[in-house]
Amino acid sequence: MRRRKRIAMKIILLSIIALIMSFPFLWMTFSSLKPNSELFSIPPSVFPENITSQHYSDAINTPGFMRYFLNSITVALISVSVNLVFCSLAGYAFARMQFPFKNLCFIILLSTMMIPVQVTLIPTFILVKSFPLVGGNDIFGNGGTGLLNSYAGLVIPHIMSVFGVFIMRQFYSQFPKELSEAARIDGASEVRIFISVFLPLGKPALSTLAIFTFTQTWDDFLWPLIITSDNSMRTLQLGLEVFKTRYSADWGPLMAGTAISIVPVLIIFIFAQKHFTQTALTSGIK
Amino acid sequence: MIKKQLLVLLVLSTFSLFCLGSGTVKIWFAGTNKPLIEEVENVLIPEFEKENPGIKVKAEFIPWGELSTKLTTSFAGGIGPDIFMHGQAAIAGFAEKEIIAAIDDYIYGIEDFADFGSTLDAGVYRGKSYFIPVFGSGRLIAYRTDFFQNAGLNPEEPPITWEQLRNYAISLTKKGNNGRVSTFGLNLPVEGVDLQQSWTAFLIQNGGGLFDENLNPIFNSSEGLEALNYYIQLVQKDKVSPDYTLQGMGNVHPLAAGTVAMSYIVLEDLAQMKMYSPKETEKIKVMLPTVREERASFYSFAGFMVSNSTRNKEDTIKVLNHFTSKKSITGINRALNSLPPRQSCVEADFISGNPDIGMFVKGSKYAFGNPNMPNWVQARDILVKYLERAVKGVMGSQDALDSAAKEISALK
Amino acid sequence: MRKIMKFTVKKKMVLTAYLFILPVLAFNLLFRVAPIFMSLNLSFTDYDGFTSPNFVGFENYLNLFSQSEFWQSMLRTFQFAFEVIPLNMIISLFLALIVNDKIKGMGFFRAAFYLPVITPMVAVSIIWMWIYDPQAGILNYFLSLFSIPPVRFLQDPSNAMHSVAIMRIWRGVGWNMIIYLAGLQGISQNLYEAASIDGANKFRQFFKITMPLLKPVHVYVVTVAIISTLQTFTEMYVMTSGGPLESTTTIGVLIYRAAFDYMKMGYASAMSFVLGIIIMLLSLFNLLINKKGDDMN
Repeated sequence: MRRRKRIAMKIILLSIIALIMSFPFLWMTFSSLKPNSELFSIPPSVFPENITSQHYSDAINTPGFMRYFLNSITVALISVSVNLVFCSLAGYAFARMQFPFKNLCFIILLSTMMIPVQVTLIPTFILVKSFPLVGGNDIFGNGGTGLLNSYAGLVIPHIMSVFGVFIMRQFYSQFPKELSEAARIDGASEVRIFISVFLPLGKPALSTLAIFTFTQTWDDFLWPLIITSDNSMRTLQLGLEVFKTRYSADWGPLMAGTAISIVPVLIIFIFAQKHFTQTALTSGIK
Repeated sequence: MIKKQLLVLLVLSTFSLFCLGSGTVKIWFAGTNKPLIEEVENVLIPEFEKENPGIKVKAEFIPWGELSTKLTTSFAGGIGPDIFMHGQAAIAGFAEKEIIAAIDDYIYGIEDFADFGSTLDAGVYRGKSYFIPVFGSGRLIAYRTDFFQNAGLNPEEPPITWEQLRNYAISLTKKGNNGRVSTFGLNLPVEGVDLQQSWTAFLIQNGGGLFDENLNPIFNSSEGLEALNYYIQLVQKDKVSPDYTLQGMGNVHPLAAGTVAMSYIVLEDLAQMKMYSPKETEKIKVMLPTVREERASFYSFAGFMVSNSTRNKEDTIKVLNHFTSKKSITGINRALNSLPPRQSCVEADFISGNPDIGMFVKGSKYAFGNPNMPNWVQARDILVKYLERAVKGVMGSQDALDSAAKEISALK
Repeated sequence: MRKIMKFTVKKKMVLTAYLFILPVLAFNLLFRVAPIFMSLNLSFTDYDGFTSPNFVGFENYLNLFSQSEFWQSMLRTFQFAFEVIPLNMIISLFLALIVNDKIKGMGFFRAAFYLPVITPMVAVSIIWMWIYDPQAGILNYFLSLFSIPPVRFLQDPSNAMHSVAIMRIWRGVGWNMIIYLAGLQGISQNLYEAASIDGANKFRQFFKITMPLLKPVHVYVVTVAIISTLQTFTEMYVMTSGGPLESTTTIGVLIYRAAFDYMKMGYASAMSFVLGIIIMLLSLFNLLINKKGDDMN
């Protein structure tokens, strides 16, 4: 009985916080269903009086919308897969293995996060554009467009993420050292220890990494804008720009398009958060 | 040593040649809205390619906010566009850095170039033309006719002089039960570029100017001081204009919301108001700029500039001619609901059928634009910083103007 | 004999470790470290983003050190960081603790708490501008119920930064909640069971078990928070454009303006490196004071 009351109290608390946190999203979704004349009424109202799906069809029928959507999905999924493999490997090595220059390597990686992206934008762009032997470039990176207008170019800011390595390093260093030592004494190789002991333990961390990579790649705007000139390589965030004007926006379709654009991130989130469950880390540790 | 190599790499990339295949001209538009894209992609480009079978046109549409970023990276990477659009305030900077080419020799090739009238002058820097205006916007005061009537003012006779403007603003200001202002008589911007443009209008109305021919600041003259004091009086003493920026909900303009009776608006605001607050918009009218020594009001144009690194000048100029023809300019301005730089376009349906846009056309007779100087953006931001301090009462007005003038002079 | 075996095992481990980090290290050296060196070079030039750069020595650095504008915005940025980081950590840890439960439908609440992270800035800014509006704003409506006169949240120079900070915290807690949540999963339930048998109450368990074991996670959260708050730019640009009266002009805003509004890429690079070095020192300090217990091997 007391437990039940406690759970009820907790759900009420959770609901209040959920309302505060999701309010802008809810407002946006409700607004996207309002006709223009109702969109910004005074005083503001949350719920629509008349419901219209006009804005949604406007958004979806924008030329290229499907293509942009698929491009975004492709870029995000490539980034997530690459990070799940390589960031967890590197993070594990930094957390639980000994090797010379470990700290130096880690500091070099960390240093890449210190400089604001605005000033490295031009050099990075030139590197990507001058990448040798692709996109019509010769061996010196001249003559063509390198990785511009390609998926490989689009994923560059998001793959092999130092944030990702850092997350995995911190998570793996959370576990007691006895865990690896027991396995090492049994003669297991490092690769084996990683795959059979730590990979399963790392599920919550890997889910976090997947959620973060997907979110960041999905929301990226500036980089795709700069490196694509070809309509067929544009991503969804760029596609939504057609609803913006210099000083304002075509709010209805913009909000509808934005609401649609959030759905994939939510799906990934709900799918990944299922793995936030106590892993089989039980007996054998103090 | 490394430094040198990297610089070489940078320079190499800047000059490395990039071919899109012969006969392709890249043109960038500022702005991404759908009607513009459709007009260009579905009408203007097919037309051009049909008339000029050997030349392909590739258009890109860049959001205004990211235009500088994308231009910078593209030019640094050696793949900049042949023609690009930008605001006229950018001309001097680009011309000084030799990014854009002078087009004096080609202007005569443009269909009826005299039709542009004085708007072409906006593109002249150090005696050379760099810019063909494509669409424009202006800043005029709009007002609520119903509020005028309630205050016993004739909506057909909006204020003309500074004194009238002030008196109108005072009688239009209404207070609520709690003693707080519920409707401001006038909405003068107190922040950002809006503040600079509105104050400059008063400065010029008062016979002053921003800079002399040698680009030395002259705005801290007695005319400038008087204009600023007038501004401050309305905001700080009379309190008939808000001393903070009024935010509507989303894009409900304060005029439509009824929190102000008269307000500076730009042309784009009208289309927005019509869309989201159609009922209130019917009660809104636009007036000509006020006058002291003369009438003056801020107008600016966005237009095309030709890149200096274009490899196929002949084709590029053909494209430029096509996109600045009477028909193209009309089409683009209809799509954007903006002010066409060509006088002949005034007869176009979307202008002649709309008295408010018509007022903006009339007002353009009194237009002034931004000065063509290389560091304009930075100079403007300095001016804004000090004007803001003066208007908000944290700095004396003469002191603010002098400090701004001093800091701007130090830029060169 | 044993010694040799141990040696080869160790050598093998080193080799494996290098193989593990090689892809990440190589990629980052090429695509992230190289550009940093290139922009470091640019910070000694008058590069404008268009024409080829000229070497100007330390001019940019001398310039920025003599500008009071630079130091003022640095100070503002730090005030902002000190306001945002602790509150963000406390709230996100609290959220993580309350959603770390097996109640059915918890996924829904977790998703709701994560929504601010993924709701685009366009929608977020409209809503918050309205919440903060001095006339029609919902916050001032609540205040008026207690007869508190309207507050100009974004329009008053002394409030603007705090108001942006609140929005930033609201927007950021979902992100850190996920990290803490994942961290909490790594703590063995046995520890809590043993502790309750010993009679430790929930508070004691939290401070004796949860907090110490979350230490690596705290290190991560603090480091990333330092980096991202000191580089803050978008919130200011969208909500206040640095105003009123420069009160929200952070160093990120200055860098952006210099780089793309004023075409002073060299100067912007110099500012970025001063900021970068400060961030680096702070993060290394943070890693160092937490080194004990962080190094498991």
